[in-house]
Amino acid sequence: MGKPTLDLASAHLRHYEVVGRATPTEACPAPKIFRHHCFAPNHVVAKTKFWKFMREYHKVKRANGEVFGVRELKEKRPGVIKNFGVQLRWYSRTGPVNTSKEIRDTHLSRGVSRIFNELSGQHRASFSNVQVIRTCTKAPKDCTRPNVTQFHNAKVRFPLIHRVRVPKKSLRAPFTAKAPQTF
Amino acid sequence: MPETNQWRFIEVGRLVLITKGKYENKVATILDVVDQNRVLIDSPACKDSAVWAGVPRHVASLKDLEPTPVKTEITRGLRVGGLVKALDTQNTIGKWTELTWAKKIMHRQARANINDFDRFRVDRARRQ
Repeated sequence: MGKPTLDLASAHLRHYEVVGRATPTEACPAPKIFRHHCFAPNHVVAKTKFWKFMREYHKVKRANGEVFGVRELKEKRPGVIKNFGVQLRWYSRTGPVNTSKEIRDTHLSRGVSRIFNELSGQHRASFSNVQVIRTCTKAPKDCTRPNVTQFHNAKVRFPLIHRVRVPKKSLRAPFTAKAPQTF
Repeated sequence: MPETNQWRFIEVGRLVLITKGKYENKVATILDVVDQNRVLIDSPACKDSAVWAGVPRHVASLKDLEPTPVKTEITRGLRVGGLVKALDTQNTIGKWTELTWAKKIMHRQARANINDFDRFRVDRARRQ
Protein backbone atom coordinates (compact mmCIF):
# COMPACT_ATOMS: atom_id res chain seq x y z
CA MET A 1 0.00 0.00 0.00
CA GLY A 2 2.88 2.37 0.73
CA LYS A 3 3.15 5.29 3.08
CA PRO A 4 -0.10 7.08 3.88
CA THR A 5 -0.91 10.40 2.27
CA LEU A 6 0.25 13.40 4.19
CA ASP A 7 -2.35 15.82 5.48
CA LEU A 8 -0.65 19.18 5.48
CA ALA A 9 -3.71 21.33 6.02
CA SER A 10 -6.44 20.16 8.36
CA ALA A 11 -9.95 21.45 7.95
CA HIS A 12 -11.47 23.86 10.45
CA LEU A 13 -14.35 21.46 10.99
CA ARG A 14 -13.77 17.88 12.04
CA HIS A 15 -16.06 14.91 11.72
CA TYR A 16 -17.21 13.64 15.13
CA GLU A 17 -19.38 10.82 16.30
CA VAL A 18 -21.21 11.32 19.61
CA VAL A 19 -22.99 8.43 21.30
CA GLY A 20 -25.34 9.00 24.18
CA ARG A 21 -28.76 8.49 25.66
CA ALA A 22 -31.12 9.70 28.37
CA THR A 23 -30.13 8.53 31.84
CA PRO A 24 -32.10 5.43 32.80
CA THR A 25 -34.99 5.98 35.20
CA GLU A 26 -37.46 3.69 36.85
CA ALA A 27 -40.02 4.50 34.18
CA CYS A 28 -37.56 3.79 31.40
CA PRO A 29 -34.69 1.54 32.50
CA ALA A 30 -33.15 1.10 29.04
CA PRO A 31 -33.48 4.27 26.97
CA LYS A 32 -32.61 4.20 23.29
CA ILE A 33 -28.97 4.93 22.55
CA PHE A 34 -28.33 7.45 19.83
CA ARG A 35 -25.33 7.88 17.62
CA HIS A 36 -25.03 11.33 16.10
CA HIS A 37 -22.32 12.28 13.69
CA CYS A 38 -21.66 15.95 13.06
CA PHE A 39 -19.10 18.43 11.85
CA ALA A 40 -17.69 20.66 14.55
CA PRO A 41 -14.43 22.50 15.26
CA ASN A 42 -13.79 20.46 18.40
CA HIS A 43 -15.30 17.74 20.54
CA VAL A 44 -16.93 20.24 22.90
CA VAL A 45 -19.00 21.76 20.12
CA ALA A 46 -19.71 18.25 18.84
CA LYS A 47 -21.35 17.37 22.14
CA THR A 48 -23.31 20.63 22.07
CA LYS A 49 -24.64 19.71 18.64
CA PHE A 50 -25.56 16.27 19.92
CA TRP A 51 -27.57 17.70 22.82
CA LYS A 52 -29.31 20.19 20.54
CA PHE A 53 -30.38 17.29 18.36
CA MET A 54 -31.52 15.25 21.39
CA ARG A 55 -33.45 18.19 22.81
CA GLU A 56 -35.21 19.14 19.61
CA TYR A 57 -36.12 15.69 18.35
CA HIS A 58 -36.01 13.30 21.31
CA LYS A 59 -37.01 15.43 24.29
CA VAL A 60 -33.81 14.66 26.22
CA LYS A 61 -31.96 17.49 27.90
CA ARG A 62 -28.27 17.46 28.73
CA ALA A 63 -29.13 17.47 32.42
CA ASN A 64 -31.16 14.29 31.97
CA GLY A 65 -28.79 12.43 29.73
CA GLU A 66 -25.33 10.97 29.42
CA VAL A 67 -22.77 10.88 26.66
CA PHE A 68 -20.93 7.60 26.25
CA GLY A 69 -18.21 8.91 24.08
CA VAL A 70 -17.07 11.34 21.44
CA ARG A 71 -14.85 10.06 18.68
CA GLU A 72 -13.25 11.85 15.79
CA LEU A 73 -13.93 10.05 12.54
CA LYS A 74 -10.88 9.99 10.36
CA GLU A 75 -10.97 9.68 6.61
CA LYS A 76 -10.74 6.06 5.47
CA ARG A 77 -8.99 6.72 2.17
CA PRO A 78 -7.30 10.13 2.35
CA GLY A 79 -5.27 9.56 -0.82
CA VAL A 80 -8.33 9.17 -3.04
CA ILE A 81 -10.25 12.12 -4.40
CA LYS A 82 -13.97 11.70 -3.83
CA ASN A 83 -17.13 13.48 -4.86
CA PHE A 84 -19.23 14.33 -1.82
CA GLY A 85 -22.91 15.13 -1.92
CA VAL A 86 -24.04 17.20 1.05
CA GLN A 87 -27.62 17.93 1.94
CA LEU A 88 -28.05 21.02 4.07
CA ARG A 89 -30.67 23.09 5.81
CA TRP A 90 -29.57 26.64 6.41
CA TYR A 91 -31.35 29.70 7.71
CA SER A 92 -31.44 32.70 5.48
CA ARG A 93 -32.72 36.06 6.64
CA THR A 94 -36.23 35.13 5.56
CA GLY A 95 -36.44 31.48 6.56
CA PRO A 96 -34.93 28.02 6.26
CA VAL A 97 -33.67 26.77 2.91
CA ASN A 98 -32.92 23.22 1.87
CA THR A 99 -29.90 22.89 -0.37
CA SER A 100 -27.89 20.04 -1.77
CA LYS A 101 -24.32 20.74 -2.78
CA GLU A 102 -21.60 18.67 -4.37
CA ILE A 103 -17.95 19.07 -3.64
CA ARG A 104 -14.81 17.30 -4.71
CA ASP A 105 -12.19 16.66 -2.04
CA THR A 106 -10.06 14.01 -0.39
CA HIS A 107 -11.48 14.35 3.12
CA LEU A 108 -15.17 14.64 3.96
CA SER A 109 -14.41 17.05 6.83
CA ARG A 110 -12.47 19.30 4.48
CA GLY A 111 -15.22 19.25 1.87
CA VAL A 112 -17.86 20.11 4.45
CA SER A 113 -15.66 22.90 5.86
CA ARG A 114 -15.44 24.39 2.41
CA ILE A 115 -19.20 24.21 2.03
CA PHE A 116 -19.64 26.01 5.36
CA ASN A 117 -17.23 28.68 4.15
CA GLU A 118 -19.14 28.95 0.88
CA LEU A 119 -22.44 29.41 2.69
CA SER A 120 -21.03 32.02 5.03
CA GLY A 121 -19.47 33.91 2.16
CA GLN A 122 -22.21 33.70 -0.42
CA HIS A 123 -25.30 33.54 1.76
CA ARG A 124 -24.12 35.00 5.08
CA ALA A 125 -25.13 31.80 6.86
CA SER A 126 -22.84 31.25 9.83
CA PHE A 127 -21.97 27.96 11.51
CA SER A 128 -24.90 28.01 13.92
CA ASN A 129 -27.36 28.63 11.09
CA VAL A 130 -26.34 25.62 9.04
CA GLN A 131 -27.37 22.02 9.64
CA VAL A 132 -25.85 19.18 7.68
CA ILE A 133 -28.62 16.66 7.10
CA ARG A 134 -26.81 14.05 5.11
CA THR A 135 -23.49 13.48 3.42
CA CYS A 136 -22.62 10.79 0.94
CA THR A 137 -19.89 9.84 -1.45
CA LYS A 138 -21.11 9.96 -5.00
CA ALA A 139 -19.90 8.06 -8.00
CA PRO A 140 -18.93 10.34 -10.91
CA LYS A 141 -21.99 9.29 -12.93
CA ASP A 142 -24.32 10.41 -10.12
CA CYS A 143 -22.91 13.93 -9.88
CA THR A 144 -24.87 16.73 -11.49
CA ARG A 145 -23.12 19.98 -10.64
CA PRO A 146 -20.80 21.16 -13.43
CA ASN A 147 -18.19 22.47 -10.99
CA VAL A 148 -17.62 18.83 -9.97
CA THR A 149 -18.35 16.97 -13.22
CA GLN A 150 -15.86 19.03 -15.21
CA PHE A 151 -13.06 17.17 -13.40
CA HIS A 152 -14.48 13.72 -14.20
CA ASN A 153 -12.14 13.31 -17.07
CA ALA A 154 -9.03 11.15 -16.94
CA LYS A 155 -7.30 13.52 -19.36
CA VAL A 156 -8.30 16.73 -17.61
CA ARG A 157 -5.92 19.53 -18.42
CA PHE A 158 -5.95 23.31 -18.13
CA PRO A 159 -3.36 26.05 -18.25
CA LEU A 160 -2.92 28.65 -15.54
CA ILE A 161 -4.02 31.79 -17.31
CA HIS A 162 -3.14 35.26 -16.08
CA ARG A 163 -1.37 33.99 -13.02
CA VAL A 164 -1.07 36.47 -10.20
CA ARG A 165 1.96 35.28 -8.28
CA VAL A 166 2.32 36.46 -4.69
CA PRO A 167 5.97 37.25 -3.99
CA LYS A 168 7.65 36.12 -0.79
CA LYS A 169 7.13 38.44 2.18
CA SER A 170 10.73 39.66 2.05
CA LEU A 171 10.39 40.48 -1.65
CA ARG A 172 7.07 42.29 -1.44
CA ALA A 173 7.19 45.96 -2.40
CA PRO A 174 4.49 48.58 -3.03
CA PHE A 175 6.17 49.67 -6.27
CA THR A 176 8.20 47.55 -8.68
CA ALA A 177 10.28 48.53 -11.68
CA LYS A 178 8.83 45.80 -13.91
CA ALA A 179 5.24 44.67 -14.38
CA PRO A 180 4.79 41.10 -13.10
CA GLN A 181 4.96 38.09 -15.40
CA THR A 182 1.47 36.57 -15.54
CA PHE A 183 2.17 33.51 -17.71
CA MET B 1 1.13 36.69 -25.75
CA PRO B 2 2.48 33.13 -25.79
CA GLU B 3 0.88 30.68 -28.23
CA THR B 4 -1.45 28.00 -26.84
CA ASN B 5 1.02 25.21 -27.45
CA GLN B 6 3.56 26.98 -25.25
CA TRP B 7 1.31 26.85 -22.20
CA ARG B 8 2.37 24.40 -19.54
CA PHE B 9 -0.82 22.58 -18.74
CA ILE B 10 -1.89 21.36 -15.33
CA GLU B 11 -2.53 17.71 -16.15
CA VAL B 12 -1.85 14.24 -14.84
CA GLY B 13 1.86 13.58 -15.16
CA ARG B 14 3.01 17.20 -15.23
CA LEU B 15 6.15 17.86 -13.23
CA VAL B 16 5.72 20.80 -10.91
CA LEU B 17 8.14 22.76 -8.79
CA ILE B 18 6.96 23.46 -5.26
CA THR B 19 7.65 27.14 -4.60
CA LYS B 20 6.33 27.55 -1.08
CA GLY B 21 6.21 25.68 2.18
CA LYS B 22 8.11 22.81 3.68
CA TYR B 23 9.03 21.24 0.33
CA GLU B 24 10.23 24.41 -1.33
CA ASN B 25 12.36 23.95 -4.44
CA LYS B 26 11.49 20.27 -4.77
CA VAL B 27 9.77 18.77 -7.79
CA ALA B 28 6.77 16.48 -7.80
CA THR B 29 4.42 14.87 -10.30
CA ILE B 30 0.74 15.66 -10.51
CA LEU B 31 -1.23 12.47 -9.99
CA ASP B 32 -4.77 13.80 -9.98
CA VAL B 33 -6.67 17.05 -10.03
CA VAL B 34 -9.00 17.77 -7.10
CA ASP B 35 -10.45 20.97 -8.47
CA GLN B 36 -9.50 24.28 -10.05
CA ASN B 37 -7.05 25.16 -7.30
CA ARG B 38 -5.69 21.92 -5.90
CA VAL B 39 -3.88 18.85 -7.17
CA LEU B 40 -2.64 15.61 -5.70
CA ILE B 41 1.13 15.43 -6.03
CA ASP B 42 3.78 12.91 -5.16
CA SER B 43 7.50 12.58 -5.56
CA PRO B 44 9.00 9.28 -4.46
CA ALA B 45 12.66 9.40 -3.45
CA CYS B 46 14.84 8.07 -6.23
CA LYS B 47 18.22 6.33 -6.13
CA ASP B 48 20.11 9.64 -6.28
CA SER B 49 18.60 11.27 -3.18
CA ALA B 50 20.80 14.34 -3.49
CA VAL B 51 18.97 15.26 -6.66
CA TRP B 52 15.52 14.08 -5.72
CA ALA B 53 14.62 13.77 -2.05
CA GLY B 54 11.05 12.59 -1.77
CA VAL B 55 7.96 14.69 -1.28
CA PRO B 56 5.14 12.75 0.36
CA ARG B 57 1.89 12.23 -1.46
CA HIS B 58 -0.44 15.10 -0.60
CA VAL B 59 -2.89 17.61 -1.95
CA ALA B 60 -1.20 20.89 -2.75
CA SER B 61 -2.63 24.22 -3.81
CA LEU B 62 -1.73 25.35 -7.32
CA LYS B 63 -0.79 28.69 -5.79
CA ASP B 64 2.27 27.04 -4.28
CA LEU B 65 3.29 25.23 -7.44
CA GLU B 66 4.96 26.19 -10.69
CA PRO B 67 4.38 23.91 -13.69
CA THR B 68 7.52 22.89 -15.58
CA PRO B 69 7.90 21.94 -19.24
CA VAL B 70 8.53 18.30 -18.23
CA LYS B 71 5.72 15.77 -18.40
CA THR B 72 5.47 12.03 -17.70
CA GLU B 73 2.90 9.75 -19.30
CA ILE B 74 1.12 8.16 -16.35
CA THR B 75 -2.37 7.05 -15.51
CA ARG B 76 -4.40 9.02 -13.02
CA GLY B 77 -3.74 8.33 -9.32
CA LEU B 78 -0.83 5.98 -9.96
CA ARG B 79 0.62 4.47 -6.81
CA VAL B 80 4.25 4.71 -5.73
CA GLY B 81 5.59 1.54 -7.41
CA GLY B 82 4.13 2.36 -10.81
CA LEU B 83 5.12 5.99 -10.46
CA VAL B 84 8.77 5.16 -9.72
CA LYS B 85 8.89 2.85 -12.73
CA ALA B 86 7.32 5.46 -15.03
CA LEU B 87 9.69 8.19 -13.83
CA ASP B 88 12.65 5.89 -14.40
CA THR B 89 11.70 4.66 -17.87
CA GLN B 90 10.76 8.11 -19.11
CA ASN B 91 13.82 9.71 -17.48
CA THR B 92 11.80 12.57 -15.99
CA ILE B 93 14.54 13.33 -13.48
CA GLY B 94 17.11 13.60 -16.25
CA LYS B 95 14.88 15.89 -18.30
CA TRP B 96 14.36 18.16 -15.31
CA THR B 97 18.00 18.40 -14.25
CA GLU B 98 19.01 19.25 -17.85
CA LEU B 99 16.96 22.44 -17.76
CA THR B 100 18.74 25.70 -17.02
CA TRP B 101 15.99 26.44 -14.51
CA ALA B 102 16.84 23.34 -12.49
CA LYS B 103 20.55 24.04 -12.67
CA LYS B 104 20.02 27.57 -11.37
CA ILE B 105 18.00 26.27 -8.42
CA MET B 106 20.67 23.69 -7.60
CA HIS B 107 23.42 26.28 -7.81
CA ARG B 108 21.50 28.61 -5.52
CA GLN B 109 21.01 25.79 -3.02
CA ALA B 110 24.68 24.80 -3.23
CA ARG B 111 25.74 28.38 -2.61
CA ALA B 112 23.40 28.63 0.39
CA ASN B 113 24.76 25.41 1.91
CA ILE B 114 28.39 26.36 1.42
CA ASN B 115 30.89 25.96 4.28
CA ASP B 116 33.40 28.58 5.33
CA PHE B 117 36.35 27.03 3.52
CA ASP B 118 34.43 26.81 0.24
CA ARG B 119 33.29 30.40 0.65
CA PHE B 120 36.93 31.42 0.98
CA ARG B 121 37.85 29.46 -2.14
CA VAL B 122 34.99 30.96 -4.15
CA ASP B 123 35.99 34.44 -3.07
CA ARG B 124 39.60 33.81 -4.06
CA ALA B 125 38.59 32.42 -7.44
CA ARG B 126 36.37 35.45 -8.04
CA ARG B 127 39.14 37.88 -7.26
CA GLN B 128 41.61 36.33 -9.72
